Amino acid sequence: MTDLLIVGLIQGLILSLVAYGAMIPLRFLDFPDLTSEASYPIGASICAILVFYDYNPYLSLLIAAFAGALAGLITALINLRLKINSLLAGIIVTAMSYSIDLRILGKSNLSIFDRNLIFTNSSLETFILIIFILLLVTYSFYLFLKTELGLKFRAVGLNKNFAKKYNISIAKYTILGLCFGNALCGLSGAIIVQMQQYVDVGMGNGIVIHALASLMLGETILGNDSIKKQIAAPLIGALLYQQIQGFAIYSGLASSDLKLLTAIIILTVIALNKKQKLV
Amino acid sequence: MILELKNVGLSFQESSGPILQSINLKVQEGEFLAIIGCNGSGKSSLMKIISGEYCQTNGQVLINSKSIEDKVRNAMISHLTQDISISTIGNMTVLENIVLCMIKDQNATFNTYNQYTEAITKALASMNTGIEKFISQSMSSLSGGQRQMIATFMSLTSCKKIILLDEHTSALDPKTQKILMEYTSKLIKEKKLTALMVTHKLDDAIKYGDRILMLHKGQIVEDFNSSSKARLTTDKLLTLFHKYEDQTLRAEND
Repeated sequence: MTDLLIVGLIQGLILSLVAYGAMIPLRFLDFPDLTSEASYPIGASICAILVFYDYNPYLSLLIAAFAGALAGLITALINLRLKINSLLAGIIVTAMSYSIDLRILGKSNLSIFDRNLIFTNSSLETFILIIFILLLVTYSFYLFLKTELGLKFRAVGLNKNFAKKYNISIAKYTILGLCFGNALCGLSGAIIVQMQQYVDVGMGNGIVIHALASLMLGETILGNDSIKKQIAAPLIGALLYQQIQGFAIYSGLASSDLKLLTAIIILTVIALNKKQKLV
Repeated sequence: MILELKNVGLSFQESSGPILQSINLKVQEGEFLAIIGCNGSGKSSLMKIISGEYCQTNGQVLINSKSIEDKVRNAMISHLTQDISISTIGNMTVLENIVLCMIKDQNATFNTYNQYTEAITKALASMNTGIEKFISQSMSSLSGGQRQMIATFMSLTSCKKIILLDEHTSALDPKTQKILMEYTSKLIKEKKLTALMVTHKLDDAIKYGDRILMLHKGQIVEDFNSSSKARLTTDKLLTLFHKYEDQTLRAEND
């Protein structure tokens, strides 16, 4: 039972990385980004193929994160250079990534049983390892926001007119934010692959919805009126969201019903927030 | 730094007449120029041309007799309007806003911005308004007047040699207006800034300006230098205002 609980927690933690990937562009740059649909499976595919050929599993995580960042860079450039809407740019990159993932893997799925992986058999060790990665990522992001660079980064999302007036390069910080956010998505895909020891090109489908649902749940519970709360929200939201899903399956829903459930959760959260604001 | 406008004109396709026409103006270094004129006379447009936000339809804007690209000129000039939503960020603290202004022309580093707290608190305290105690509060929690005070502080301490002030005190109560105007004038003198101030307050124009320009229908119609300004009163200026208004009305009726 405790093992089952820990596995649920671990999945929540990994999902929270994608929620961070969605939150950073959305909340700090005012740039709604769907690229996680591409960066998550790209990270997974790259990590799987590297581990399959016996590369170091930790190095594979880093390379996967880098590949995710590259997907973010492409979305940013499409938006900035071609002036294409951010959502559409993300969809275009997602379409590209499907073909690329198939090229990387050579087929639509790959199993990496018996390879050298970051995880041992103990789910507690796995749990600690992921907590460590998460703390490292969130704490360094928090410290970054307290620097001069971080201040200019925040200004881009809060007031674009102000940013222009004060010589802040919107392009530079948009690229930075999208690369960082999607590096986290790539990392998340890579971790989940090493945990499941299996990759499928379709595994990223709908991940952005799960990430947004987590983010919104977290923000509804904690609020997002301070940087600390904003940074805690994806984590708390993802953990809760994962438990809700687990509970739904436990109470008899089919796993194919989960997307409907997710959509209902998102709409409910939005409706609740609207109602709160009206009062 | 000498600012010079040569035969500057501005017109928009959608407007019927020109917004500005044949503006010739030379502002000496350290001069405080007050610009008055009724609504629609082209005061704000003139500011926007100088700051590089608008591009003039004809003529030249020169700094030290050199024509300088809009974008570069923009970095040399600080332009403050009454619109605090552009000049400050509501969701950031006072400190964060001021730091952004301070590091405007520098490459941002990985140093934390809290290091500036002490210096900024000191500088704010010199305004004698007690505003320094709000330094770690969010900008949106301040009143409009306090926010404009911070925006003025940011503009005047931004190390620019030319300052454009566009009705920067107009949204404030009379007492705050006075404090802010005194502070503005003090800093402009101290830092030997070249300043152009658009105002509807005629007594402010007379009291603080070294020189007063009156704009009407996009043209400079009066230019009082310091000696002719000495004989000027608010009533005389008001009479002039009416004179130009009446001329326009008569011309429209004919």
